Amino acid sequence: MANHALGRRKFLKRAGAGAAAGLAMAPQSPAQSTGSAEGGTGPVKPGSDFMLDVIRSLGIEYCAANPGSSFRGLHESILNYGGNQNPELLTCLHEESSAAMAHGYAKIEGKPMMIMVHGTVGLQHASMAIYNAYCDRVPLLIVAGNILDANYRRGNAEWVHSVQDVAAMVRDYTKWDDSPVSLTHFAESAVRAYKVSMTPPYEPVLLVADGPLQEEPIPEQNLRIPKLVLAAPPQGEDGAVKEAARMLAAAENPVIVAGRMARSQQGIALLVELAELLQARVQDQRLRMNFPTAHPLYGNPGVLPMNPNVSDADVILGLEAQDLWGVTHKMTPVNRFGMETQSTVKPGAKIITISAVDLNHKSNYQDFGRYVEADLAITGDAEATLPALIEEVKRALTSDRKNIIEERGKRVAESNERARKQHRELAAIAWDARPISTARLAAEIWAQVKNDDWSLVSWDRMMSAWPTRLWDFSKHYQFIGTHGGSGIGYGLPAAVGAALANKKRGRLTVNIQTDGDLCYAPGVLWTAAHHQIPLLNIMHNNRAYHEERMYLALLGAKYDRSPEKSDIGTALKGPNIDYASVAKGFGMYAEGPIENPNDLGPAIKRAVERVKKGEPVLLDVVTQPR
Amino acid sequence: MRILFVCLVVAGAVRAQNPNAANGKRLFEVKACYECHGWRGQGGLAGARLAQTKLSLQAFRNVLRNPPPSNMPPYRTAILTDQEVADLFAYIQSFPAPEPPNRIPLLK
Repeated sequence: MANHALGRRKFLKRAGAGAAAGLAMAPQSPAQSTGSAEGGTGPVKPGSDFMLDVIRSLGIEYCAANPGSSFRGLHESILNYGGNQNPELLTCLHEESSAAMAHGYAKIEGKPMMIMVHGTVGLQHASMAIYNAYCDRVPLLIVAGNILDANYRRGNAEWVHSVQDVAAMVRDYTKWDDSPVSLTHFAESAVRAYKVSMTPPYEPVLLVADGPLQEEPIPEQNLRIPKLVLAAPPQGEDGAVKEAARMLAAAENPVIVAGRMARSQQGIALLVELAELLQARVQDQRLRMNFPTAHPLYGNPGVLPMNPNVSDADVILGLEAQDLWGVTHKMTPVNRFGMETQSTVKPGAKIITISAVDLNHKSNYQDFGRYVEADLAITGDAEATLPALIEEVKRALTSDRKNIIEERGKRVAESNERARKQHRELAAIAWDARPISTARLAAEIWAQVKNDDWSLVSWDRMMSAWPTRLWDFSKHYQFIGTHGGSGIGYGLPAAVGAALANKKRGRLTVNIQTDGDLCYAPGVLWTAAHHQIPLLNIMHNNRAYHEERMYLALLGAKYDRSPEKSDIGTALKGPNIDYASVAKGFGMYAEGPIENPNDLGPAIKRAVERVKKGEPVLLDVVTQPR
Repeated sequence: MRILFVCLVVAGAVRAQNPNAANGKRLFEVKACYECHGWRGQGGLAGARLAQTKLSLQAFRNVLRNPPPSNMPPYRTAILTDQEVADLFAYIQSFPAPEPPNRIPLLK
């Protein structure tokens, strides 16, 4: 059908006749003056130009992609029709990097990035990162190229890159998908997809961009783009919210467990207001930045924010909490292999849950976790429900409770202060050790960034949560939680995506990067260098997959087997990986390996200066396991 | 045979009274203690602090043999003999005391 020896736009110009496009939103709008109005002699446009108009109407800033022929039409339109702006194409070296970059970006920007993938091989590469985004309740717009019409496919490559049902392989962990067969269909489904993705619980969505639909001249008359109106987040039912307020106000010791609660700075402010009203301890699971770590009511978690101790609570309020069953139960090491469990809450303690996740349960993948036997379960977005809950708590609190509530707050504050003091004492141990202690690493970074507008975009559990324990977090963008699905390979690309969102705001983005994670798809170092995305990468290079080694030791010991061989298959030594050379090879400034703790501060200072000038940097620091 | 057994017991008792911290250092690595407790026994995400432990050797051995509910593996005699536990304990006791945090500028 198409003469592939010609350039596509040249071909389309020759093909000319008949195609018209009455676009609702065309930033450069040539389509509006094409087609039959010119009597068939003027330039016509490919369908992908209209697709791009649709995508631009959604406010998409970036499109991350590793190039693929099944979406070459859209790719070309982004460059030549769209001028490579809104969205700007980000060159990725792996589709998993594309999706994970979008994951990190969304958690800072609060809206989706678009990624483009081959409907077959590219989507398979991206699938792990899509699963992470799904488990982490993050919006993401996936556009998958495909050639459904067998008669349109050229040669073997396009046959092996084509599929009947593109979305099938990720349908278990995307919220919605569609395979449009016309441009009108594409427009409506794209707007719907964006809206679905951005309605809590946020999740990835997938839209197929059919090859012929992209590449052939626009055939349809009177094309228009539907208006995007985002849905108001679902709020908990009034009566249930009132009952929750009554239970909280009457409680002797209510404790709030916040998971992916705050979607914005406003979410943090609301949680502070609720906590202060009740003088209740907040156990932030650190899956988002929910509560200021220096606040007196911050429930200092020690080293495991995800599994706080709530055994002293008589009412537990879970706000988009993760694994609340795990928070309220314990399993012994033997039991973790499938035996008995034990509740850790007080007899008679009540559990209240507020979460939108119940609106999107699927069956196959088990990310929903163990069933929580709540006494009051409210389906609704927690941040959207908090204003009503706060008002109801104000009504429910009576003056005779005032002294009890004040005393409670004092106890929490005193406990918090003791914990902060203890953290500093523990950080002092092994201060001068080699390998460098993770506490020292966190303290040295904090000293260099604390006076800037910083954003830590990596999870800190793998370093005993030392940043959480030593730094002061208060802003929503200062912490973005974790991977969601525990799929390794998230860290570095998510950091690059988050840094991209921070770039236009002039923030100093910090990524404390684990070594095993970096090795999955290190090519994203090049993407960061190529697009000049300012990012301070500091390796937590402990030269092993230590958690897995701990599991081997634990399981072996159960059968009286020594852990001496547990480094086989888990250690990353012999040879040691030279991450500074890896980064340099991808065009990034790098230093290391840094093994002397006294060298660390000056190296971080040098790195920060470079990042502030607009470039990504990597410091390889050899560290203790945790 | 009985004489040999008595000799071994006596020898063991003597060795246990002369713990070998150097061997304890080796065991601390090969038995993967540092994985959870850190190279200086500082503790962290996965393991308790060992540095400046207030446990007696007897209590330390009891914890190793029958750890409380946690991710701590049980180190029974097939993995660590009593003598090796004593060596390990001696090494742990050799960890230097940390500076008070108020004498470390970054922790003040």
